[in-house]
Amino acid sequence: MSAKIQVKYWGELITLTGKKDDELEASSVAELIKQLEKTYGKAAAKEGKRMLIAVNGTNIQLLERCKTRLNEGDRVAFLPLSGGG
Amino acid sequence: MNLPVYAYINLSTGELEKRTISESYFKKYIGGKTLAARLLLDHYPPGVDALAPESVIIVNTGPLNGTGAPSSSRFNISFKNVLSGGVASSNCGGTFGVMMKRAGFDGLVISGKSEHPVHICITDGDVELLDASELWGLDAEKTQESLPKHHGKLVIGQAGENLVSYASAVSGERVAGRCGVGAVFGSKNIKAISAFGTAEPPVLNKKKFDEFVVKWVSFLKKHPMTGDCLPHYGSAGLVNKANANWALPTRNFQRGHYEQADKVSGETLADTRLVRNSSCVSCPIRCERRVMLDGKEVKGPEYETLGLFGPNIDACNMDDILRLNYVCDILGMDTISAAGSIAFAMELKEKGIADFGVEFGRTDNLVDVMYKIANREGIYSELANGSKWLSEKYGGKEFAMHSKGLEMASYEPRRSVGMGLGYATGNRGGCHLNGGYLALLESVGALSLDAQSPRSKAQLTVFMQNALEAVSASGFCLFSAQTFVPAVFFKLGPNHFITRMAGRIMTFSGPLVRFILNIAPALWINSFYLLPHAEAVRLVTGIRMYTGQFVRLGERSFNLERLFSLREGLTAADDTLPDRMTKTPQVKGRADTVVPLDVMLPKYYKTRGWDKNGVPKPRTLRKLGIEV
Ligand code: SF4
Repeated sequence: MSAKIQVKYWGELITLTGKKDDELEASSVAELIKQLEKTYGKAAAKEGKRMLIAVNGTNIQLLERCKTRLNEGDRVAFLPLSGGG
Repeated sequence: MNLPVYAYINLSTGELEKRTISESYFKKYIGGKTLAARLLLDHYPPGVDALAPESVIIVNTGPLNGTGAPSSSRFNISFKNVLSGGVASSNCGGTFGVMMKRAGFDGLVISGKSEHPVHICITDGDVELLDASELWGLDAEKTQESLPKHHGKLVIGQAGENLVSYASAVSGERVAGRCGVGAVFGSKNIKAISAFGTAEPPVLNKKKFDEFVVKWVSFLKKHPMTGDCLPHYGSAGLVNKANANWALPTRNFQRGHYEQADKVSGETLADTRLVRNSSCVSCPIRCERRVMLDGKEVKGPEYETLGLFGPNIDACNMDDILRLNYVCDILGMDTISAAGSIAFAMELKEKGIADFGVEFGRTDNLVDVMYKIANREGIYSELANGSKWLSEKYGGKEFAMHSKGLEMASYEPRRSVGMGLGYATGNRGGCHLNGGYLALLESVGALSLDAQSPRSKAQLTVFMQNALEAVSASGFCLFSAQTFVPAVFFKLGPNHFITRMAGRIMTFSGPLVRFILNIAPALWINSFYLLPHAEAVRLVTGIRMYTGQFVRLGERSFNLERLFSLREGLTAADDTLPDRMTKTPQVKGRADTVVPLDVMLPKYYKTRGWDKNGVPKPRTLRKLGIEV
């Protein structure tokens, strides 16, 4: 079952979607990326996949990666990579 | 061969002497923190307190400073660490280093104590000791405004004058922050050093060097790390990434994740406060943030300051952090140690042990607290001694978040265990950069090793520590070395199968890294992709420097500093972390969320060629050509 997800874009995704904040329906991260492609095109989905994806602030690499389940009201952020120190 | 020229200054007697560094020293130690470590071993009287008049402080440059190579304006200050009693080096990107070199000096070796506040003024080959009594009491900004306009400046604020243990020295708006360098200046009555010169720093093979620089700048601009991530978000961009990987210290390192971290993230900073980005001299990376504060454009905070004056004190007020960053800079105080000491004091209050008027979640009173610390007013004088001192007086050693007395940087090592090993073994203490900065490969970068596994961390830490030492010794900014993570991993991103596989493979790379470390001098190659700095050193100095020798130079450097610390009384027992990091899992019930230091440390010593007491074996010293 799809849930309403609060999405936050950063970096190049702001240009590609024309938005900073969004609401999309998806039940997993993989589905959210598909939604991204459907709504904003291939380039947006490609860029999204390339970024650090955080579900409720946690990197999906510490969760179930793209299989991470999403529930109603969850927050997903697409974060640009960084460096420095 | 152009050999470095140093000014030896005795502030007690007023004696000044120009000395040329010998060719053998130059070839072996080249400059910066490596040559400084050698000179400290030679000139620092054993056992003398860091703040005693007899102590020695070295302010120096590397061979690349001022040559126009990318990110090459960083100068070094080496001294006895006020917080640890061991070695200290502090690095700064202000204009002072380049100007000192243009004035004909590669470094200063300063001893003694002036009778009155002094301004060491260097102009085109001359050194003068000027009375600076009128400057005493001024903050770092006003002090610099009072000095000759075109001089490169290095000054202290009130914190240094009052011997705050983590006082800094400031050049322009860049800061030599760590280990209490400002207090050492203050103890010698040095209020300011300034330099002006017109000489071009020597470059042996100018034509080839210029061509190399053009190619290197273009490489840096094309690499996603130095051409995109750092210019757009600065180091501040790490807040959300560390948080997403549960490596963002929260509530004095009680946790590694803060719900509202985004409010103080680099992205939010870029979105809401950034006026423009800027840079140190001759740096195409331009990671510096410029922000508006009370109608004035000032330098914005680095990642460390955002994390430690934010989530680590359970707060997320960007305005307050910008102000605290500015105030610490003008008072001349290291933001990492200041914020770390405050976080410890907050936990003391939470536990009902001591009350310094600071509490978790509250930042509105901290500017006032900073002034009181800098002026050592009343009970705040105790906060000026740092968290180690506080824990020795009040208890709470298990949650005093320092190593060797130096407060830890803003990476929670229980989610970056290699960084934990780095904090424990760093010569200056809990410093991410001196610790080898494995956090970049474990918890905040594009490419991720298994952050919880001790596997290969000893070897990788040694390699990274050595490489960063050599980069620093040459006069470069360490950020310029971050292109060693191939651009392809940024393009694929952290979720791609290939990136994840590369991370996994690196987790098993320990034996290979050890092999490379052993055969380093045989690596007669220079490449943009690993450490282009070696080729730059070769072209500028004529020293036969290739990647392998460069890493070996870093190894020599690290061992020299270690020898100084051991001589001054530090032991293997100081290569440690607070119990919170090694005994209390970050996530209840998950035993892997502690730092397995006892597993990594023996391997680290072995990889370094140190005995079980952490002392470099004679064989290791022979290999490195170090005579004690
Ligand atoms: S990368 Fe940043 S800190 Fe380093 S030299 Fe350039 S501007 Fe300065």
